[in-house]
Amino acid sequence: MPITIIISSKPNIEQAILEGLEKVHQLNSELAKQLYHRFIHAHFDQLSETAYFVIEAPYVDKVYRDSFYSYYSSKNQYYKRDSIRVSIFSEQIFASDFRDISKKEELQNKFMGFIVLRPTEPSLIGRSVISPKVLKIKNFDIVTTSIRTTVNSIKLSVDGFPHSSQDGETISCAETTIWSLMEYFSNRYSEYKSVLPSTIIETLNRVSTERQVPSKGLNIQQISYALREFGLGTKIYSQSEFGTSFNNLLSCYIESGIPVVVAMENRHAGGNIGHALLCIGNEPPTNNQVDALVAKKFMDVSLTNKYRAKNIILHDYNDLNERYVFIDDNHPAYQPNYLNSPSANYLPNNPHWANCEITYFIVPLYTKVYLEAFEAQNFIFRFLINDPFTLHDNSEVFIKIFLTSSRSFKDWLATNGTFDEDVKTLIIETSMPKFIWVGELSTKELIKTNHADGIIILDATEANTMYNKPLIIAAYEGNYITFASDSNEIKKFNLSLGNYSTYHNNLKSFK
Amino acid sequence: MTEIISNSEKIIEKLEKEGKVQYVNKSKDLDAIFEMNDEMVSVRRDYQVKDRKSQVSASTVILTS
Repeated sequence: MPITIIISSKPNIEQAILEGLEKVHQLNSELAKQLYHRFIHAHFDQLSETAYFVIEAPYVDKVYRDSFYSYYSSKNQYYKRDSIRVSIFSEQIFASDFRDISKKEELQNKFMGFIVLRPTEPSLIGRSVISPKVLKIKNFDIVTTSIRTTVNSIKLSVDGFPHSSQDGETISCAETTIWSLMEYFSNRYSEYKSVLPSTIIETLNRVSTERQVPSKGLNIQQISYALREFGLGTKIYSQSEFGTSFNNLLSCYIESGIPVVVAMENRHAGGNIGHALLCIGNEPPTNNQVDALVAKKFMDVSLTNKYRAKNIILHDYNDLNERYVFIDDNHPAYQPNYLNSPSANYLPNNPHWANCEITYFIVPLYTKVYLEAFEAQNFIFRFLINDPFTLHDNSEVFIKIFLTSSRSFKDWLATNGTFDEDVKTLIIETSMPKFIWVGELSTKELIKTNHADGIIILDATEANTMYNKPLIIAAYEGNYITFASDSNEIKKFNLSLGNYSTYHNNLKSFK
Repeated sequence: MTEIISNSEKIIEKLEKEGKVQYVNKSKDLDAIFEMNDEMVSVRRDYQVKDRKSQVSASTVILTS
C-alpha cells in the first residue's frame, strides 16, 4: 500500500487533516469536522502561523499498534490499525528539501515535532512531541528530551515532552501519564526503557485482583508501583499530610528538573473528578512576584520562633506563586496553570471540573537519592539558624533549594566566570555523589538579576542527618564550611564567596 | 611531562598559614550540633508519619478522568 505524503501550510492544515480522517480513518465528512473542531483544532491552533506540515498516511504508530494488537484486534467490531502522522516545521518547506543532502541541516533546524492521529475516535490525538519553540505563546522553563523520528524518510530529532490523549479503553489518564513519563526518561537517560500500554497493563496485572482492560483508571499507589517497577525510586506526597509544605515541595522538585505526576480531584467538593497529569516546569517569576513573597512560615513553630528571635527573615523561592506547566492528556501539550487552580483551563467548557485541587504528587526520583526534599530542606533551614553556622542577626535571605546531578553542577561551575576562583577550585575538587541538593542564598534584589552570594551543598545519598553528615560544603557570609565524612571533622575557613550568577541547568527556557 | 593541576591543598595550606581556618570541635560547637541532631530526629519522625500516611491514603484515590 503506497504512503500518501502531503505538505500543507497552516491555513490549509484543517482541510488536509479532514481529508486524511475521511480517507484513512474512513470517517464521514460531518463526523470528521465535528471531531476536528472538538478534539484536534486546539492542538494545531496553538502553533505559529508560519508553521508547515508534512502529513503521512498510513503510518504505523508503535503505541497505538501495541494497543491494537493487545486489545482492539480481539474485539468483534472492525478497528483500523493505521494512523496518520502530522510532522511540524517552523517555516515553509518544499518536497525537494527531503531529497537534497544540502537541505538536511535546514530541515532539522525547522523540524518542530509531530502529532499522530490514531483511529480511536473521539480521542484521535495519539503519541506526539512538539517543540515549545513553535508555540505562538510561550514563556516557561521546562524539562525536555530529544526524540528521534523520520519524516518523509529523513531522520530528524525534536526537543520536547512526550504527550498523548487517552483512548479511554487501553489507556486512561493514569496509564497515559506513566507512558509519557517513561518515554521522557528512556529518551533522556540510558538507565530507563520506554514502555508500551500492554507493558504497563502486564506490570499492574501482577498485583491486581481484577483485570486491567478495559481501563478503569488507576489509584496513586498503582501508578507509583508501576514507575518503581520501571526503575524509578518513587515517593508519594499527600496534600493532607504535608499541608502548607505541599506546594513548596512540588516546586522544589520541579526546580530540580524532575517531571512530577500530579493527582487532581474535586471529590472533596462533591465532584467526581480524579485526574492524573504531569507537571514539567514553571514560568519564571516576575519581579513583582519576588517582591510580593512574604517571610517563610515553617510548619514547625519552634523553627519560626528561632528565626524570629534572631530577626532573620527567610524568603523561599519555592513559595513563589507562579504558573506551572502541565502535560495533560485532555488538553494540548504545555498547559500553564497555578497550583491553586489546576483545572482553570477546563472551566470555560467543563464546569464539572470546578473546585479541583492537587491532592497528591508522585516524584520519580533516581533510586539512590535517599535524602528527599522534606528532610533536605529542613536540614538546610535548621543549619542556617543553628550555631555555629547561624546567619548574622537581622539578615534577610532569599533561598532557592533544588536537586541536581553533581556532573551538571560541576560542569556549570567550571566555566562560571562569576564564581570566586578559590571557592570554585575547592568545590570542584570535592568528591560528590551522583546527585546533590543545592541551596543558593541571595537577596530579593540579587535574585531579580539571577545572582546569589551564598551556597550550601548536601549529599543526596546521605539519609542520615545526624552530625551534619549530609553537608558537603557551605559558603556564605564570608565563611567556607567543609565536612569530612570519614573523620566527622568540620572546618570553617575565612573565605568570601562574593556574588555569582545562579545555576539554571535543570530546566530549559522557552521565550 | 606530568603535572598536578589540582589546587585545593595549596589553597587550604595558605589559609591555614594565614590563620583563617577554625576547627568546629569545641564543647559549645558540639552542644549546638547535638541540639540540631535532636531537631533532625524530630523532623525524621514527623516525615516518616507523613510519608507512610501518604502511601496508605494514596491507594484510595482513583484517577480515571
